[in-house]
Amino acid sequence: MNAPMNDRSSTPPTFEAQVRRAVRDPVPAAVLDRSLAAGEWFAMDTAIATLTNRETVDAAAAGVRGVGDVTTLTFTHERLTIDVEIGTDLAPVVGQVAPVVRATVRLLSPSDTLATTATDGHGMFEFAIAPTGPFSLSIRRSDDGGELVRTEWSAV
Amino acid sequence: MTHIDDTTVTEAATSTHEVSGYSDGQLLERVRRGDRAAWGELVHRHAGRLWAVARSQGLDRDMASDVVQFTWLALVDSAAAIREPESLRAWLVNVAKHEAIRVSKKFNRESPTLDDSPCETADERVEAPEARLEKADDVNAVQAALARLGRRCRSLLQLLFADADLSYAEISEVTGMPIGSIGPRRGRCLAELRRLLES
Repeated sequence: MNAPMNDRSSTPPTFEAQVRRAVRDPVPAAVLDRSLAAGEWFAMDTAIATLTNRETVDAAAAGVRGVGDVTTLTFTHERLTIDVEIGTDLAPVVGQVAPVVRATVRLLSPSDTLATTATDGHGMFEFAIAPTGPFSLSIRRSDDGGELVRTEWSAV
Repeated sequence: MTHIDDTTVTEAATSTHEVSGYSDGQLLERVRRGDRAAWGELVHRHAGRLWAVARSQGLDRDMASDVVQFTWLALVDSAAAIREPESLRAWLVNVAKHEAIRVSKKFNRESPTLDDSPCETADERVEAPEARLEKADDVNAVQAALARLGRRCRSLLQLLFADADLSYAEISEVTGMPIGSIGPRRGRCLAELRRLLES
């Protein structure tokens, strides 16, 4: 700072000024960078499957196979439904596309493709890694002219 | 989860963007048409506010970072569907609030013993007894007292004093406190903080 706004050096700061200093918490540069980078997704002109249902249960309490929270997310776009389960003991991410389609499924973080797989004969897919921050799944159908759908950004 | 480097500050990032004077609605319209500079201006205009909202729910820096990033990604997914572009600020605050509450509840469920634990600033600073006399003008002492304050009071003071430019209406929205009670609570929380500081 080039010059003090006023010369208060002889008087103690007010209590409120002390509180202001104590809670000072500017947004970190890394957070601004991640926020700015999020805008790059505008360039991907992809159909978005929107979240239509979300449930989180404690696996032990609910008698579900898994450890800790199991989150089930359902996304839909027109006739396509994508169900995703995160936290079961089958795999970190398990999903199913309905109606059954052959498709390439990508697990996306805001900055990377984390993993790529394909649906099986039942429309099911799984990933061996779990997302730790916001994630999206892109589904590119092998038939139907390679139609591409991306689930809206989610976090668990 | 991306780890946030505590040593980085925002000066470099904030000094490079230009301020146009466009409203939020005008910027959003430009963003929809692919204007990257408009996106940058929206981010610089609102990121600090979203950060404060996330932090006021007791989230650490990494969790709060994910919440802020998620909020902007949600805007990417919803930009075309936002019906009142001039209410974008309220939309962003609302998304950040709900995501921060969800993350906070999940964290407290998974780590119940940490529920209502002091905030990180207190963990990092252990006060020496001989420092007591110098308390009155000591940021660390105020932070330690804040950490002992009740969670709702601490959250309110963070939102009011963190320089995040939140309106009383937004603070009411984030905390669930009626607007009319924010002023009186502000006084009571400051008094309680002063009592903790002096005890």
